[in-house]
Amino acid sequence: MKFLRVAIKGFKETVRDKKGLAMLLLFPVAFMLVFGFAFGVGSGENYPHQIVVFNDDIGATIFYNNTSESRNFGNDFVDLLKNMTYEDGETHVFDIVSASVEEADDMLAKRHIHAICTIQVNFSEAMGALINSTARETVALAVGGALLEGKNVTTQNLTLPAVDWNGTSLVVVEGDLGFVEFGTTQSILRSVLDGFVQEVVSITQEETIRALPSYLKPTDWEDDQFVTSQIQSVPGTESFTAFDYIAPGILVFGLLIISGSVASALAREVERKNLERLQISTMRPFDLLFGTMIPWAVIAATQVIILLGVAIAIGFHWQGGLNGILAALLIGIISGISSVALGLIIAAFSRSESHANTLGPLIWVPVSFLIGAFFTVRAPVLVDVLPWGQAIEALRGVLTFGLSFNEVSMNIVWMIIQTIVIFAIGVLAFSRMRLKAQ
Amino acid sequence: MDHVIETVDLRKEFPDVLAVDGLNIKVRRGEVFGFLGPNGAGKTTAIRMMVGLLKPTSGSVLIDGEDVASATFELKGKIGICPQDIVLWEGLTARENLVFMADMYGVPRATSRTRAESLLEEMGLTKKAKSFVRDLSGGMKRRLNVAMALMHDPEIVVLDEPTAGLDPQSRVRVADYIGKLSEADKTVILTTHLMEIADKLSDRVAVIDHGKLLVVDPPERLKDTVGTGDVLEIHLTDENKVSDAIGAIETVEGIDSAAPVDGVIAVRALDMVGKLQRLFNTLEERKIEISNVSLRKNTLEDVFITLTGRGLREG
Repeated sequence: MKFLRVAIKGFKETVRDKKGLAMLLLFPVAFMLVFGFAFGVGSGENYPHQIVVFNDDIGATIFYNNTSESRNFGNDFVDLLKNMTYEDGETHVFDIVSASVEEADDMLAKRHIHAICTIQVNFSEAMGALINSTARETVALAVGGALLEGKNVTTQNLTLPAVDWNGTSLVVVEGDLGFVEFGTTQSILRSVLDGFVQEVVSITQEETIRALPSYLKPTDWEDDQFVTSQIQSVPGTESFTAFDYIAPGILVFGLLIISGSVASALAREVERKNLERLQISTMRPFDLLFGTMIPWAVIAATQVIILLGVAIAIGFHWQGGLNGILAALLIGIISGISSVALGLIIAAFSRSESHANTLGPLIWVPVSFLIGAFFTVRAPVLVDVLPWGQAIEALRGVLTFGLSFNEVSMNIVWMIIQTIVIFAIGVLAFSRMRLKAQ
Repeated sequence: MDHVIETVDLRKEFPDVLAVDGLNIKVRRGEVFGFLGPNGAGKTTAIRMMVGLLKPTSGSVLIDGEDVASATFELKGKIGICPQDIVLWEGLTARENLVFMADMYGVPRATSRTRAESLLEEMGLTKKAKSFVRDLSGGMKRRLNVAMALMHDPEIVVLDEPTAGLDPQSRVRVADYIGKLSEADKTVILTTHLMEIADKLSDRVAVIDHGKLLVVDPPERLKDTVGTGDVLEIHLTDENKVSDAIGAIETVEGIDSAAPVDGVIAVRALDMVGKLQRLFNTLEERKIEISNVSLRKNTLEDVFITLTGRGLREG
């Protein structure tokens, strides 16, 4: 377990170098503070986001619990957008501007509005399918639960609605990717839509259980359990600022800086010939590189906690509860490992510590911008192929939009795959350039 | 003869210099093998190739018959090196450095702790065991640097200028420890440009210059090759008269040789003291004024001077 010895050594060195550690941890904190105050926190002012909404939804007839009803969920969603106010006052979250398609495009180009939201023609049909699917699932769960409790179940009187639609309806949010306000607006719209859909699901579950015979109702079900569930505080509708959208990016930026520190530390080991000492020992390159990675992963986790703490302290509206924090920690650790891997690559091509100090920022600064750490980027491919881009998306998901771990799991899977690839390249490059006889 | 290290036509060429030029040496098991030469002679380059840090341009290094280029863990474990530069982890304590090094060779913790205490004591660093390396003096770091090479109890100990920059007291301590290694049947390769150290500790000395091996022999035999007896070094008031002075000295009966070395005349003879009066008189008759004289025994430096025509410290 030589890698553990290397890890312990690295950990001791890092912790004992108090100035270096403080710089490493406080530099991103300074960025978080600067960006926090620059993008809306502390001003205490909320303002409506200017949007144009095109509701193309033609409505649908919804069948459930032996009843049918004509509904236009698109109208319901537009009403919700119109009436939604910030929690801290009477200011509306959205100012819905009336305009034709041409006028809306023109206003968007001139940045007079922040986004165009288009509700597609089959939105109600999709909601109907969701309601039916939810009702079937609720009934099935109730029947299953009753059977498990040993009750006699007859399904003669139960009507299960058919789910005969398997399409997807989109709510399209259009905007200028280079416009920070678009980032904020689309985030809020997405959160509101998620909340709307969730609310429909909740109400369907409530109504379905209410209509079930009493012996099928769950034993812990209280009649008034769902009665109070009306449109609740939708995540993201509090005083949402541009900072809420940017903070996860700053967090990843802080983790990217680790690559520079790792490169400097390794280049220093090369320059001072400590690596030669290890090279002629019976240590394997894996021990060195894996052992180096461990303390930096711990630093990454610490950095996530500190940065998140600072962000929340200055007004970041964190969603997702404790699970969100845990997910953010995991994402942070994976990002940290990616940064260590990038550090290995930088160190492989650095002749000295000072060279690494110069080369590092030349890599991690552009990467920070390209992955959209500060502003939404126009090159989404880069966001997708780099683990830090996936990290930002995942962190925004769990921290800003309150998504569950499952909902960002694909981002995390991609991050892991991309990190493994970068780490393999780093190990290969460093081993060949620095751990072989010259 | 049991040879533990053998270099075969070892050659290392850098873009601007030929550092090692066809080096063929055989180091015997259990001997202290001195590598003597000025700075830049190729000693360190040869050592780095011997331990596998540097790839030879051509030729090979065999350790116990195994090519270093394909070094196995077992072979690596046989060698301990104290590099010329001080290579320590500044953020760790002296003891932590030693134990970490042992960890990297897979030495069990109980053994490494005992060995660390023993080496700290040998090197006079027990009181500094818990001090961070960055807080140690240069001499202390140098002694710890030597101890680092020994933590895994290697069969072959390569010491590259282990006494460089040491104060006389520390130098004696390190030299004494090298003597103990020899007594413990370790094979020691010692590179130094300090002839006293090489002379005192080495069983055999290889003299190297410009990457070429000039000679290999026990120190006494090497010194005998340049003449037995004493060496008188004469400094003249007027250095332009060195040639005249050498001509005059060579006329004195019983003088073996007289040669200029860095503006000083090195005169060799048996029983030099008995010839001093005649030698001074001869120079005085020629109106050659002496500013300073010193008398000493033959050293390895004289061997080097004889072989290369210049002093060891000139580089």
